[in-house]
Amino acid sequence: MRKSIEDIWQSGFIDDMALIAPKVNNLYAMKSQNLVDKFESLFAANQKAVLFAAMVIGSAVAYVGAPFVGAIIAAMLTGLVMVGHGQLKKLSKISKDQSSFEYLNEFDIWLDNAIAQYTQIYRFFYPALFAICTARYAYSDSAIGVLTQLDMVNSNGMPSFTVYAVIGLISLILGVAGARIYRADVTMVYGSEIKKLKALLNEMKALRED
Amino acid sequence: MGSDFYTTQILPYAGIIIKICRAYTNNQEDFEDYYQEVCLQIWRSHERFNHNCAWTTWIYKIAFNVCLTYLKRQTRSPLTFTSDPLPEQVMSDIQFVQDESVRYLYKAIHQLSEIDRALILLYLEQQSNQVIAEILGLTANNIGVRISRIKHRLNKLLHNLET
Repeated sequence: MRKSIEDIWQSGFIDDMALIAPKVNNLYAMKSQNLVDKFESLFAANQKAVLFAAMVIGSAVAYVGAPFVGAIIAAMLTGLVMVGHGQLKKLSKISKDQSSFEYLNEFDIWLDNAIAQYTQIYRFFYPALFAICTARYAYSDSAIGVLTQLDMVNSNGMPSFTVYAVIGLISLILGVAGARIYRADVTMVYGSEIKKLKALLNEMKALRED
Repeated sequence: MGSDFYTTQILPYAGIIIKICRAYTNNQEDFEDYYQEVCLQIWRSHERFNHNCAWTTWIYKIAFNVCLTYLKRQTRSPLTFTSDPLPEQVMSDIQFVQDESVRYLYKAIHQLSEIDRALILLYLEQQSNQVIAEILGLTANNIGVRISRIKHRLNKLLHNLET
């Protein structure tokens, strides 16, 4: 008669080399391969990069004669860093010592919120950045020269309404595209993980409701 | 990692971690990666342990949470979960345990969903439904029925594998 699975399990590991722990090398310096940790390090790295960009771009734009625009860009990027900081704080509170359902559910909620928040941000961020930069550039001597050749200046020698209409239209397209690009980017990089996470959670939810 | 911590707080419970990591991996390299990750996360989180549950229960929680959200290192494509069903030829490479029956049992366990793997491992480790519910965040009442179904499926899978 075949042994039960309980008997196989209980007797199978006795005096077996299978339960000898593998050698742990350089564990202290090991980089985590955990999904939540990966997002945490990604957010932390992004924050540093955006902060650096805020300083560099802000200063560079101010240096070329548009300090007000430079300050606005720096402020917008700093706002992005602050949003990221808030998300990072929430993410770091997700503890791995809670039940699997709570752990996965908390991460799923965080992920949904983060994606929704960034989608909203990028809906306005890219168009605003484009509109501010181009609107300011339109008043520069070089731009006025080009616009004059294109017959796109008004009687005062300033950019005409058409220029602002084109900037507005491109900003609108960027607004729609920005959100879509962000979502497509997340889906491309983490789509399969997110799908599997949802599937895991759905199975657990069904099991809780049975 | 403080080697004292590893020696005193993790190593005595390495059997638990090994059995779980084996159920979620299909080769030695992955197994060692998972094992190290679980140890790393236990060490990182140990200050949060507040004695509300047994140390073993706490280790189970971390081990399952790590295995359920581990990203496999890949060189060409983006990081991915390793929860895809295991191909037959890979599963036949499970040679880590000498006992043939356990080998077959692990092969069968590998064919279960990730949650079912967790449930059956905890059941086989003689954890009560209450503790299983606490570790996985499920309802204790539903666990017994689910485990019966999993056992039935495992027996069928074992029968198929052995014949």
